[in-house]
Amino acid sequence: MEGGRAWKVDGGGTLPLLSAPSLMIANIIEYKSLVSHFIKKDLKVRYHMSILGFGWTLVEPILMTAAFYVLFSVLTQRVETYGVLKIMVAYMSWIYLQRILASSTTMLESKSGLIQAVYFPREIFIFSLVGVEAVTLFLSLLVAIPLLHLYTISLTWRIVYLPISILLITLLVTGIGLITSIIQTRIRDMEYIVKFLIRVGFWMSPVWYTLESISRVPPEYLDTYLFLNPLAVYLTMGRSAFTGDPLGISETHIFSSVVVSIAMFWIGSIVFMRMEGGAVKYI
Amino acid sequence: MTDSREIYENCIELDDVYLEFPLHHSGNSTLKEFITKRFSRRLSENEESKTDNASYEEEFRGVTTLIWDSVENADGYRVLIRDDYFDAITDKYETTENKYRFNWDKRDAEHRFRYRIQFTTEISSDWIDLEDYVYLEPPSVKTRTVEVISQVVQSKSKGKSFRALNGISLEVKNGEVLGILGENGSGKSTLLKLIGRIYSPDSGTSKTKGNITLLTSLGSGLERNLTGRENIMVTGTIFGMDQKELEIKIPEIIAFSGIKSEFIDQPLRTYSSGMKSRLGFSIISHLDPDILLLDEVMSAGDYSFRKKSERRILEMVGGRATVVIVSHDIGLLERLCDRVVAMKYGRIVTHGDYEEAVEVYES
Repeated sequence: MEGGRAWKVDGGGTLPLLSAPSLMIANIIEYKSLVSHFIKKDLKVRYHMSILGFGWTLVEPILMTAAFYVLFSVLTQRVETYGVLKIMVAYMSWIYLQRILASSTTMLESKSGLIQAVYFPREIFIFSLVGVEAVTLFLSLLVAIPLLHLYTISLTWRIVYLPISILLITLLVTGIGLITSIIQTRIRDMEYIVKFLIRVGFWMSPVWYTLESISRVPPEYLDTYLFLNPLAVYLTMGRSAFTGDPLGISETHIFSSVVVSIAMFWIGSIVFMRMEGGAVKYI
Repeated sequence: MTDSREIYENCIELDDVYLEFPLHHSGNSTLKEFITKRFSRRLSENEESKTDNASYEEEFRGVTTLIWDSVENADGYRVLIRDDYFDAITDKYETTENKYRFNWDKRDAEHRFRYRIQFTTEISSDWIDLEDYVYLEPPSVKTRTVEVISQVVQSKSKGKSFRALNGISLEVKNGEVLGILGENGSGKSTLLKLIGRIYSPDSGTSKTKGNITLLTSLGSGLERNLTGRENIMVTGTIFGMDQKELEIKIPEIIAFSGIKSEFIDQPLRTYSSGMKSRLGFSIISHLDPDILLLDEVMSAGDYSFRKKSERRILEMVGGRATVVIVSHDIGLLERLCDRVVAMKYGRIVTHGDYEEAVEVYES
């Protein structure tokens, strides 16, 4: 893999600022066979010895969607159009980001045996995880197809929102995961903080409710909310991809949420590259 | 300090490498530590790391090397050491070479010792006396200065840390076999991991060129829920083998591990611990690295597998690879290495001469 390539370690460690994300992606491309191996292995191991197997990626979100739909209908006393579809798409996206966040935080810590035995860029662990979750998300989103038939929705050009929304979510949580995984090696409280934030984030984000359903919130508050929680934008995008409804979010908010996502990935890759070497000493 | 000079194929070059491990604090004091660190940084701009080094005079007697004429057809020798004070044989040392190093500093100064050499042949397994007991003449007592280097470093910005590597410069050329001796905790394994890129130096540079394989015991790297065959594929890929190469090597790896065909497609959790370590060793010993780092690996499996793995390692060392071996087995290092250095307190303290390294190691 590193055949014939000389490598150097600089005492202080030069800080790759602008190039950090591209360096990271170059590493992933160089080690792509290893990444695909890790992904295959994890998929194989995940539903090992279970009867339903991959069925679980469908069963769990479907049941949860049903529960949330009932909850939503009871609380708001109205029937949202395409309600089930909207909740399900957002819930599956939420599961995706939650799994990446939670697992990446403890990733370096749990792979200490391998890290101490052989060198390869450690971000590969995080990216393999993202790969595994992306495959799972894709499979679970297939449930949307029968639902689309049921609601007799025909897809519009807005379906491009789906990959964009997933990409933005991925960049954001990968960035955060890269940082928390490094911090977790030194301060083991990180794991609990992340778990807590995921739980709070679930209720603070439009997963089982929609942005329209909280329209009685005064617009200036909603404005601040969308700035603070870019996930609301991504999740609404994912919904709109299927239903074909307009987003109902101003360009400023879309722009800011894209900036947050890219910035987070950028910062995450800098922090990871800078601190990866030192982190090995703690595990 | 960046040295952008390219280095030659399959070489290792370390220049003034330091590596410190932070000493552990209990969870509660981490926050306190953090705050005081931030605060004290403001107070004093010039922070110095502080080490307490001292030296003292020590008496020593040294080593007597016993050499005897080799016997034809001898399969092995045995040295018996008899302590007159106890009137009993206190040591039995079996070796395949015709020499033994008797260390006076590990014995009671007042006692008198006798030794006798025995040998065995393939035909009979009995020990045959080579000569009668001979008294060992104690050498004269000498003095030397012992330098004590404190490896615990107190720095205001980083807190307390342990300096595992303390300014190491090292060069290993293409095809060279280097042995490293040193007592536990002298930094040998850390050095090997640093060469293998697992640790990166805090200061100094470490350069290598070529595929590196660090051979350590590999139990934890294997996946419990995958089969033996799948584990070979995954681990092989992790260690940098490509797909085609791996597929060719798989039968060889399975055969070497000695795992029966009914088990190789079973998940690893059904394996005994011996089978797991045998599989782990088989995989990494079938890599074909340019640079091979060996860290006391001859401990996998039962007696016959250990013999087999030792032979395999000798094969790998004998090949074209550049090798660094860490071992406590002085005889093994003498047989295999072009150069042996000794480590102490995270430093390399000798210059590559075997005798000198052994002397430091045994002192």
